[in-house]
Amino acid sequence: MIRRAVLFRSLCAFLLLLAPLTISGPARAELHIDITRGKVEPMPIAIPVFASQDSQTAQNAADITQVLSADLERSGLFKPVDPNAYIDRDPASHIPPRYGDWRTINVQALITGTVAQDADGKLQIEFRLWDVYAEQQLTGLRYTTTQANWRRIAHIIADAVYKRITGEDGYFDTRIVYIAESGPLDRRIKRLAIMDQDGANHKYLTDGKALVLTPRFSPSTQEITYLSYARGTPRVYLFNIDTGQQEVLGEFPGMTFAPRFSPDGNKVIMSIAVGGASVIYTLDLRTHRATQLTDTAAIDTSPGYSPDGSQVVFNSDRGGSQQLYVMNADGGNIKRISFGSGRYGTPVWSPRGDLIAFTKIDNGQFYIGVMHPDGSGERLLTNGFLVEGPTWAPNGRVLMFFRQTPATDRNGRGATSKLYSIDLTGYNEREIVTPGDASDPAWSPLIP
Amino acid sequence: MPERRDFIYSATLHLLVMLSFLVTLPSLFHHPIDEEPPIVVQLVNLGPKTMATQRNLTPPVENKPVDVPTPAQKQPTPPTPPTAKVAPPPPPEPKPAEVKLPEPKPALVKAQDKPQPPQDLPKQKQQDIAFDALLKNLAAKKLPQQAAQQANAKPQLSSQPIAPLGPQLSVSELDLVRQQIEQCWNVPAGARDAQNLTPEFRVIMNPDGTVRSATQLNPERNSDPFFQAAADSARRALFNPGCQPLKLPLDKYDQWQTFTITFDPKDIS
Repeated sequence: MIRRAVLFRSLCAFLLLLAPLTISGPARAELHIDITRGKVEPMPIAIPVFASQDSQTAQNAADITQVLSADLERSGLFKPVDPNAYIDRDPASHIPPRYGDWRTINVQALITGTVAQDADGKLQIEFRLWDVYAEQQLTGLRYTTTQANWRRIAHIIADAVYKRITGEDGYFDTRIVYIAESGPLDRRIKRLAIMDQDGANHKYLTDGKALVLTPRFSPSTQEITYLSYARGTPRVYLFNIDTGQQEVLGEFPGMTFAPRFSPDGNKVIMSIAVGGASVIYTLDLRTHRATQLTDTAAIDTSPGYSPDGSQVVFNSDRGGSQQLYVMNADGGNIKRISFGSGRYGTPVWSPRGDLIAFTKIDNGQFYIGVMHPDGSGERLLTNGFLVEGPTWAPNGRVLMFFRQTPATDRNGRGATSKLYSIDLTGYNEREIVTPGDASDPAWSPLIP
Repeated sequence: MPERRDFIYSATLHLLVMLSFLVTLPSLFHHPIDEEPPIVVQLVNLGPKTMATQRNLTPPVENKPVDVPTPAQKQPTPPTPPTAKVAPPPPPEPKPAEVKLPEPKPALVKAQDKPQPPQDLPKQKQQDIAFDALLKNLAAKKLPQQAAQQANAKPQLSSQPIAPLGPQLSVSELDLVRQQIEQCWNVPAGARDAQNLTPEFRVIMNPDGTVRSATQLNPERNSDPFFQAAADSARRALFNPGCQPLKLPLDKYDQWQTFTITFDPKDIS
C-alpha cells in the first residue's frame, strides 16, 4: 500500500519535473511594421560621363551628361554625387555596374550611357538607369538623332529618369515664354522672349516697340497667345513661334485681355471689357465665333479651363471682394471656391486636374498658393513683396511665377523682377536665370 | 524492519525529489523575476525621451572613397541591345527615335556586392523634415525646423494596434526600428493621390539585423507608374546601407526573422 503511495508520489514529482518542459509559448502572429513617416531628401545619383568612341562624340557625351545632371539637380529630387568620389570612374553601360562600388559612396541611383556616331553622322545615344540598392536596371533607352539635337536628348533622358523614379512625367523637354523687361520703370520696354526651361536657347520674339503682357502657350501647337498694345488699345494676339506671324484674335469693340487656350488648343478664353465691367468670352480659333460665358456688372477675369475642358476657373469681384469662382464650360453653375482672408487672383488649373494655383493678396503680402478645385486644402507655398502669375509645369508638380523686389530709392531704382520655380512641396524654390528682368512666365507643354 | 526500510526508501526518495526541485527548477521560482527587467526597461524607454528618438547612434564615418580592387574575373560579354530601325527624324529639332534597352544579364560575380556595413551614415540634413511638414503651408505657420523639432520632441507612437507584435519585443524597440527606417525612406512627396500608394513587403532578415530579402506583397499594383515608384522608394529604404543593420535586439531574432512592413504615406494631402 505504502509502496504504491510512494510510487504515486514519485510519479507526481517526476511529472512536476517535466511540466516546465512541456509548457510551450503561445503561437505568435507575424511581426508587422507600419511606416507612415519619411523624409524629403534629394536622391544621391551618380551620372558618370557617358562613354564615347572619339573626340567628337566625347564632347557630345560631356555636354549631354552635364545638361542631364543639371536638370535632375534643379528638380530638387536628385543630388548628383561629386564625380571625384567615384570608385568606378569608367563604368561600362552594357553590363550591370559593380553595385558595391556605388553603395560604398552612398549612391542610390546610377545612370550609365554611351554616345556613338553612325555611318550617316547621326548620334546614337543610349542610357541605363540602375537602382543601386535593389541591384536592378530600372530603365534603358536608345535614341538616334541629329548632331544639333544633343541638348534635347539630354532633357529627354532627364524626363525618362524623372518618370521612372517619381512615376510622374518629366518637364525638362519644355520651353518657357515670358516677358523680358528692360529700361527705367517709367519707360519700361517689354518684349516677348522664349527659352528652354533651363534658360538655354534664349530668344526675343518681339522687338519691344509695343508693350506686351500675359503670354500663354498653346497646349497643342507652337503658338502663343498674349496681350499687346501694338494698335494702341490692348488686344489679344496669336503668335506662331515657327513662322513669327502675329494676328489679332477677334474684333471686339473694347479691350480684350487675360487670354488662355482651351486644353484642345482650338479655343481661346479671355476677358472683354464692356463699360466698367468685364465679362468672359471664348473665341473659336477655326470659326472665329465668339461666345459670351458670363454676364455681370462686376469684373470677371483670368479665366482658365480645367484639363478636361469641362469647367472654367476665374476670379471676380461680383461678391464684393476679388475671389475665385468655378463654372461649367458653358457658363452655368457658377460657384465661389475661395473663402480665406484677403483677395485671390490669377487662378490656373493644374494640368493633372487636382489643384488650382493662384495669387493671394492678404495684409499687404503676396502669396502663391494652391487649393483643390472645390476650394478645400488651401496651401500657401511662398510669399513676398510681390509674387504673382503662377504657371504649371506640364506634369502639374512644379510652378513658375515671378517675384518683384521693391525699389531701393525714391526714383524707383533697384527694383528687380525675376522668374522662380517652386515644387508642390513648397521647399524647392529656384531662380530661373534670365538675361534681364523678367515677368509673366508661361510653361509650354512637353515638346512634341 | 521492512517498514523501517520502506520508510528510509520513502524518505530518501522524498529528499531526492525535494533536492531535484531545488536544483533543477530554480526558474519556476525565479520566472517572475526574469520577466521584471524588460518591463522596467520599457518604462524607462517610454519616458519623455525614448531611446527611439535618438538618431544617428553610430557616429558618422568620414566620407572617404574606399579603394576597392577591380575584380579579376573575366566578364562575359552581354547580349547587344537591338539596334534602332527608325526613319530619320524630320528637321528641325526632331523628336529623337527611341528604343527600349533590355536589362543586360548580370555579368559579375556578386561576391563583393553583398550588403556592406554602412560606410558613411548620412548626416542630419536641413531638409530632413518631419512628415507633417512635407508639404509646406505658410498659412499654417509651421516652419520645417519647428515641425522637425516637434517631431523630435515626442516619441512617435504607432496608431496601429500592437496586437500582432510578439509580447517580448517592446514598443520602444519597435519604435526605434520604425524611426530608423523612416530616416531612410524618401517619401513620394507631391505625388497625386499619394495616400493610396501603400507598398507592402515581406522581409526576411539575417541574424545580424541586415535585410536578406524583401518581397513585395502587392506587386500587381506596380502597373501604375506612381505605385511602382513608391514601391521602389520603399525597397530602397529597406536596403539603404544607412539603415543596415536594423536596430533590432539580436537576442529576439526569432521574433523578427521575418516580418511584414507597409509604407503608407497616408498623411500626404
